[in-house]
Amino acid sequence: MRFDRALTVAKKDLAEFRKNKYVMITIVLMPLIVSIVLPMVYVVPINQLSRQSTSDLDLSFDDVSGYYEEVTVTNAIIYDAEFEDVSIESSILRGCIVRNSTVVNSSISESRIELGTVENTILTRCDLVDLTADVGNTVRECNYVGGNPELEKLQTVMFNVLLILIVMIPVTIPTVTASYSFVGEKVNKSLEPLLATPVTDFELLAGKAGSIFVISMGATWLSFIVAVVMVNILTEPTLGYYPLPNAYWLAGVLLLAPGMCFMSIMANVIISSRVNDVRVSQQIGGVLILPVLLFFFFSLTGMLPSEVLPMLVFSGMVFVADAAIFRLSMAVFEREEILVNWK
Amino acid sequence: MIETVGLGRSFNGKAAVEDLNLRVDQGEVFGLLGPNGAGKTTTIRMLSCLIKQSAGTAYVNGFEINKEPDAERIRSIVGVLPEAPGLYESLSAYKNLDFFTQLYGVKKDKRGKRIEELLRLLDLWDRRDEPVATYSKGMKQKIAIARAFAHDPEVVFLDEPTAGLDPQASLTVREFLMALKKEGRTVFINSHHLDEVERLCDRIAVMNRTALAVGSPKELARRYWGRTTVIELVDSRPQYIEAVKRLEFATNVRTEEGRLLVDLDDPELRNPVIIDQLTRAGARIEYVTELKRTLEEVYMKLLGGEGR
Repeated sequence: MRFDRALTVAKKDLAEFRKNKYVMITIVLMPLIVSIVLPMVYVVPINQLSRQSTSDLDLSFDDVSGYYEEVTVTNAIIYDAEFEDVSIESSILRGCIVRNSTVVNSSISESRIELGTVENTILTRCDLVDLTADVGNTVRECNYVGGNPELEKLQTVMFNVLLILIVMIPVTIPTVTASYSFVGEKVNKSLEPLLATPVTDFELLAGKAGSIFVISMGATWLSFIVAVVMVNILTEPTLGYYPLPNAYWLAGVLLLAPGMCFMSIMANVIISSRVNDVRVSQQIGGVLILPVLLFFFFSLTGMLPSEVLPMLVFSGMVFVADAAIFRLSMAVFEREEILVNWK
Repeated sequence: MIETVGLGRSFNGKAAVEDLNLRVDQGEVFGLLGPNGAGKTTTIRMLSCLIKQSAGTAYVNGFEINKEPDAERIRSIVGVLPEAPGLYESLSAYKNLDFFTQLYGVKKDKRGKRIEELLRLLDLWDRRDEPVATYSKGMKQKIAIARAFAHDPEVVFLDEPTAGLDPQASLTVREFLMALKKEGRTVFINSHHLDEVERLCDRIAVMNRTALAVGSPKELARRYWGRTTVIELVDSRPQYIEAVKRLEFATNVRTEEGRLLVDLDDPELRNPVIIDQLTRAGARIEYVTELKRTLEEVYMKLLGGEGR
């Protein structure tokens, strides 16, 4: 393996990409939309939800007059009381402290609710501390302490979708660049003089794949950096912290994205050996997005947690698939095979 | 030097080339003729280590084809012009050539000089920075030929070097090849242009899957028709023909279009005797020459057509 020859091939391909407007549009436009436009769109609902929940309440409960434990409260109107391990239903509470309790179909204002389950309730000017469930509630000017489950859920969805699109960049760019690199060269009949040079099959494949990998991952990582900066700039004033990057994102961008990029390139080598049309090659190559979508679909639906471990496992599976597809593409990308059998 | 020994190649059980035995000497310009599908391109592809042979073997400057590390060595010392120019259309002529010379390992300081030399020879230096897509078909072919010579190869394989070119472009390419012929490198040409091959090549082979005949065009003509002396007389009379027929060595004495034709084994020795015999018989001779057979006639005869 002579790196200088692989590098020469890579540099030539990069020079050709620069002259190809379709390739350049793909390389520039898709990352631009993903990294700049989408964060701006996503941030709107996050900020709206955050605004509901960030009122700086300073509730005082000095005059709590009653204490209730392990009872059921139904159809009651209670002021200035403290509850622990109770079940409250269809009641109106104000100025109360509610711990480890279940609240359903009620209206609670100017109160503090800790570690409880609150469902279908109107919450106004409350401190909500580490709620275990927060379902179907109307939340007005409340202060979430220790996290806002709805906001977190929304963030998870939004950031997952953004991550899907970032991971799709290194899958999509090779479907365009590789199709021009391999099918284009075949259609142009420029492979034969190239194969007549001393460059080995592996050097040629490495050079071509390398140039595509560099621009695909370059665009991906640049998009990632810009998207993270954009999201952080736009959400920090309302969230009070920088949400990205987290470990899940880093694993996705540093492991899954390169793995999928490599798979996309190698798959396009195989596709190129059987098709004579750049567009057909691109369409078939697009199928590769499906496994990524499937993984994120499981994450979005909660079937897989949006955590580092599943991402690492999935990335590992992609690497195993990469090894298999690399062996296949090496078998296809062989001088004689290219000249005699590539259709 | 190129030597093929029983070289053969089949595709899906059908022989494209079989039992090909050729020898091309160092510095020789060798032409390979044959109809479409005769196996000419397959032969070049095998010799330039692009595809493997099914049978036999071959040697290019002493290196055995398709046997590592010889194959890589062969690829580095040969230049190949394929059937299609196969250039990078978005890149300029200069960048196309620069890319290939880099792959062939030509040092940076020599690359520019060599590319300039070739582009000037082919009248393309002034347009060196324009994208190849803007070039005419002839110009593209010239660039492809320049590419085959760009790394100063010891052996060059040219597949139809003037195919599809107009007469002027063909002439430029021929002149270019004639100029490079003087450099003493081995050139192997596949062509349908018999006239071009006759002018450029020292020897030719006519092949149809295998070599049907090998030799210089003149040798081949002599091999199939022998040698014939043509004598143009001021006036053709029967007694002159009879006088020549009396000579023992003269065979197949005949007249065609008022000229006297005599088949001879050794015209250099026998022509003076014939001239003397005719003069004694009172004939007045305008000129004496040898009947020339064209390469086309040789080609047609070898491939089953009728020679003219």
